[in-house]
Amino acid sequence: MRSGDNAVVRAESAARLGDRGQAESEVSFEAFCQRNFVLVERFLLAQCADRGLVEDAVQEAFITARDKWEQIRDYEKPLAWMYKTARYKLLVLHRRRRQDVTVSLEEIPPERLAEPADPAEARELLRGWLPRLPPRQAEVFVLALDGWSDHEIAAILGIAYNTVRTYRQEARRRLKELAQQAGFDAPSGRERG
Amino acid sequence: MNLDDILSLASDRTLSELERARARRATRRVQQEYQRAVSEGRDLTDDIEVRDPLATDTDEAARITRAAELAKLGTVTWTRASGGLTWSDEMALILGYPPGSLRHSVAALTRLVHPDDVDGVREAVESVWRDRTVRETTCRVIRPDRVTRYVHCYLEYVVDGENRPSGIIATARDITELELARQEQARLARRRETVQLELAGRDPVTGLFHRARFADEIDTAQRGGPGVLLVVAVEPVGPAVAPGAGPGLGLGVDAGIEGEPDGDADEQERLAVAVAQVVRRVARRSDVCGLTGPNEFGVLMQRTTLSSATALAESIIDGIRSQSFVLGRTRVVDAWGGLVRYQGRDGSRGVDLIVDAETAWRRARATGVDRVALDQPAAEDERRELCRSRVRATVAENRFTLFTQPILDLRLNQITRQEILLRVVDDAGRAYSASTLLGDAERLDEILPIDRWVIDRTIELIARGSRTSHYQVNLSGRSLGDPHLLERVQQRLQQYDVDPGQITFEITETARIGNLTEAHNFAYGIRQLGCQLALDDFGSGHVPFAFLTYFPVDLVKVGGEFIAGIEHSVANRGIVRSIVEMCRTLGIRTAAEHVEDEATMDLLRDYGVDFAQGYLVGKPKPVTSPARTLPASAEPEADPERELRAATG
Repeated sequence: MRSGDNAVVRAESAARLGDRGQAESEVSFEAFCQRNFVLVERFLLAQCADRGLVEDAVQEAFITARDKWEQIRDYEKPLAWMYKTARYKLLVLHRRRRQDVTVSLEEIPPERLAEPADPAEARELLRGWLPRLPPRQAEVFVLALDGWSDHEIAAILGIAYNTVRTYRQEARRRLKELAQQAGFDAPSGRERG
Repeated sequence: MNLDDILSLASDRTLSELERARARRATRRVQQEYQRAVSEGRDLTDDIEVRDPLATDTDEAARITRAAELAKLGTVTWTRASGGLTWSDEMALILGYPPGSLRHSVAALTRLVHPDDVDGVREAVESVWRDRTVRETTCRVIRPDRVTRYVHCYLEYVVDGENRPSGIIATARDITELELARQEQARLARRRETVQLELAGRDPVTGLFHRARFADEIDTAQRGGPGVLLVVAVEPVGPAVAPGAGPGLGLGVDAGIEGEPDGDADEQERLAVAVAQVVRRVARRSDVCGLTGPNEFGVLMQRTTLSSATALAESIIDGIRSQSFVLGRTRVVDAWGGLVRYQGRDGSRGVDLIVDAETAWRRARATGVDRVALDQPAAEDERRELCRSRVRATVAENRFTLFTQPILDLRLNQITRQEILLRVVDDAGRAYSASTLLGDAERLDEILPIDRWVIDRTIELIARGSRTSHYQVNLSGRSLGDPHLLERVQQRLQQYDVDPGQITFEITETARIGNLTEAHNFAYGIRQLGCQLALDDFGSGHVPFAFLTYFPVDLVKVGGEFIAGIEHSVANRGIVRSIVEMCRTLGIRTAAEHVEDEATMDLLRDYGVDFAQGYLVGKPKPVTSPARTLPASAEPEADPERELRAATG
């Protein structure tokens, strides 16, 4: 279950109690923000290595969410709106800093790294590979990994449903190659030899 | 562990304690910033779409267009039902047109795309529709003001509410700056790969600067103030391996070359490497070392006194004398030093100081001392006269000999030519490269007698050699201005009844062509006789491309520096390929020197080079052998015929 949805559930249960006042709205937003700030950051970090810029984008997105919370909190999945808006804020920041003028990495095989021991290390490993994918494929893949459906991903990213399906498969194929090059090619669930 | 294991680990959404703390801080900051924005009256949603992205959307194309508008991306939509195109306003702006002014047709769009990119775009669009897939493409568009921009497009096929294919949507972005940055990065990467960190000019065997580069280094150092230049000359002591010409006897063209010719060259290299080691070891770290000539080593000492430089010279000389070198057999090597002090800014060029130091070591050897130190550079005219008399003495004493090096015709894979090479013979009868002497002779305008000597001897040798072989003879650009040279060639060809078609004259040192009209006359005249004309060291020297259009050149020899190591040099491959292509267009054949391995030979064949020369094909060999040496003979030539035949095959 998505933690962002938890906040909504709580907010909605509060709403059913007839209390949709200022204080309750504040509480539900803060719960939503605390649960999801890091998740939205993780999503953006998969496409932008500049942590400072990502943090700024996520903060701006949440400030906007705070402004429209009364409306957004009623959406079926407010987190989808968060992802879409944060992604857009990052785009604006990139353009302002002219950082969209960056060039993709050279095609050198990935380094052989140690096996990740915890989720953070696994995400770090993945973050090293994702820039080697076309940017949209990387985004699609990260959202899919996050549990979003193809239709939801299409809506968040503003691309066609069939594009999502194609990109998800292509991204997986490419990541598998990268993982193999980095030495992660053992059958599932077994230690590397 | 494999990708799936990593992914399942990465998809864990639990927050760590640190992350939770960070989220709490971030939340507080969001609240504070929100309050501040409200108090400042800022509009927080003016550029944001507030509607729920997951709200059902019947028309996929409309949804994508809206998202593109928000992100300031252009869209072009093709709808199957109508067959027409729809442009977004942003798209019109990307293409350089005011919104709403473009005609909505495929033909109109095609006209906007750069002609070279139309096929690529069409292919991408067709494959999107045919394969029901998504493609990315970058194309150039030409705006109404003829300015070209790079545009990146996502091409997606979209479906209607019933999931039936309804059209194609292109989401476009002007990526000109990004594309230029990418191209520049690629260019810089290529440049890093092709440019050398260091200037050329080192002797490949010893790694020391060669004469010209060493002279440049002296010029640079001189500007920094006074110092001392040392030149050390070395010479193996005692009789040579093969009994033959003793010192001072083996003069003339038939002067004996000791031992096996190949072994002789190898020995010179081995000696050079060993002495270079001694010189490097003794010299101070800041001293610059060079190979100023065959068996001649230079040490440039900045900011030192003549007495401490002399002490260093003695250490080097002692170091060389106290060591035994393996040259055929173990040999002791003698050494002499010549030093010259310079003040800096006193007008002596680097090459002058080298000449002075050489004069000094020769004086040391002649007077039986270890070294001679000059307190200051020689006067200019004094130096010139010394040099001149040395060149003239070499010519007068006939201290020359000829070597030949085989040239492979790559079409036939057969040796069909020989290059005639001039060598200087020392007192002990050893043959050395004539490059230093030729350099002096060219500078002092004393080259013509040497070239005449070479022409005479060569034509004489050809007359005794095989009638089917072809010979390449070097001729200084300086000599081309001599009005009598052409007559002399003609006269000698008649005298010895040699077919002019057997000779190619290689012009070296084209920079020294004095009178272009005279040189031009010679070039046309020599071809009228039936001889051919070649340019030596093309690409390394000072030959402008234009030279190829007004000189009737038949052959261009690509400088050896481009050939050695060509396999590992993108730069050299590009240059050689281009020279060959250019020459082919001009009707000029090409030859490569310094071919030392099969990989290089294969590359040169691929590029269409006509001739190859180098150690792989064959080393230079003397046209006479020690067995034929007749030191006492008044007639210089004994019987070079047999040796020449042997050498030319």
